[in-house]
Amino acid sequence: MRKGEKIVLCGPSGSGKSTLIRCINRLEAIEQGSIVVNGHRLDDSIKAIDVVRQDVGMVFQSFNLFPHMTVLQNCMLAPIRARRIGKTEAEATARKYLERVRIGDQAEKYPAQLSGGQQQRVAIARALCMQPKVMLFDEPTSALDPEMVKEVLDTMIGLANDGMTMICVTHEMGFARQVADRVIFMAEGQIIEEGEPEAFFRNPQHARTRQFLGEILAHH
Amino acid sequence: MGYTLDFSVVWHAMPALLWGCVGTLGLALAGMTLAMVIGVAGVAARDSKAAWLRAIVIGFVEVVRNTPFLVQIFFLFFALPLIGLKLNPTATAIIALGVNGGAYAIEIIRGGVQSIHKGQVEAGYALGLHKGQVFRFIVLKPALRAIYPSLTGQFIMLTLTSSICSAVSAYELTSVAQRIESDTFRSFEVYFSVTFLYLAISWLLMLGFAAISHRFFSYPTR
Ligand SMILES: Nc1ncnc2c1ncn2[C@@H]1O[C@H](COP(=O)(O)OP(=O)(O)OP(=O)(O)O)[C@@H](O)[C@H]1O
Ligand SMILES: [Mg+2]
Repeated sequence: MRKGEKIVLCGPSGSGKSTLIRCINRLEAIEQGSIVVNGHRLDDSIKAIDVVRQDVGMVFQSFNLFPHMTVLQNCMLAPIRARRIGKTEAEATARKYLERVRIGDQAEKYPAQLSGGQQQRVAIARALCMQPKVMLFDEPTSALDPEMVKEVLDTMIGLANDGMTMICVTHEMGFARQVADRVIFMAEGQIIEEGEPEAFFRNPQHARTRQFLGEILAHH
Repeated sequence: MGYTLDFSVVWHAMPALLWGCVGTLGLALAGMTLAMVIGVAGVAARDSKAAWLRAIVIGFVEVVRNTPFLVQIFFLFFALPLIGLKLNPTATAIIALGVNGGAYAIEIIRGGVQSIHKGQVEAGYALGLHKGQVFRFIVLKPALRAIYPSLTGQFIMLTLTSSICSAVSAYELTSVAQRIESDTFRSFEVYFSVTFLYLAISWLLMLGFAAISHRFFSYPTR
């Protein structure tokens, strides 16, 4: 993967999309092969895992905000504890990214007081506060009510336009068309097909891909 | 043969009884603090990578929860001096209450920790936090909130259990009551009053627990 590249991963349920991206920050153990993040080879040593996690931001389907902390505290915890930067600087950074996901005015609220879309944008801001080199998204919009999907996708598009390197597991094909450099299709734990979005959607090579795209488009 | 109630002895002994209440509260609060430390440390150790540490915690909980408190406090009272630790009765009582309450606290807090969604832990790891930091900053508070009613219930139990510490003549309400009783032979009046004093202590603690909950655990949830 190149710096600044945006990859969209899709495929049927259980095909291993989450497993693949969770291997990148070692939330999942690697059985075979190797992963190199920003020049650091990911092995089982604590040090390697640490270094890689500092460079990789992740956004989950279920937001996973910390319920006992305000939005601002959610965004400041890891910079202070893992990056060991000062409180003032951490707060400035947090407010900057909250502003950027257009939720700066909610900084003092608790997660439960926000809508799903707002929570997911906070989760994006929280990951950005660690200044990651790559952002991983695991179906960031699939737990959201339809009317909130757009605000999160718009945030992600903004991030993409700013040059962030991104891997997104999503079935939002409009998003894939608009920002992806490459679309990868997985099934049964294997990469079946990959290509630029135009070619991928207009002219899929494999029967399995065509079937999947047919199902997805029928739903939307 | 009629028995005439005479509460004047209780009235005269009230200052001593109230000091006994202070002793009981002191034992209870110190015991709870120790139990809390043992509880949290025990839960962390219970999930440690080191098998021997997990075994110690499991063994500790098993022994303490399946033996009588009176035996535990006698054991400490007579065993500690054998290993060179000479403690006064009150210090022994605090240790016994803390150790006993700690074993129950481990089980209760562990239940709270297990109720935390694993996505919370993963989010912490993904942000670059270590295992200990994830426990301390992410898991602990929501876990304590989840089990707060059982934990405080256990601490009320601990407070009432402190009356058993009269067996090693620690300074607390029951031992004060025993002294007054043996001086006056007014058993009914003394223990009738002491019952209400324990009730008052429990209510006071519940008020305190409610205040703590309001201060620390009142963040909104869905
Ligand atoms: N390449 C692989 N190696 C090992 N295990 C795999 C692989 N691919 C998939 N699995 C296993 O398949 C199961 C489902 O994978 P995963 O959760 O990643 O699917 P998914 O594509 O994210 O599905 P969903 O769309 O439902 O989220 C997991 O239990 C995972 O362990
Ligand atoms: Mg998945």
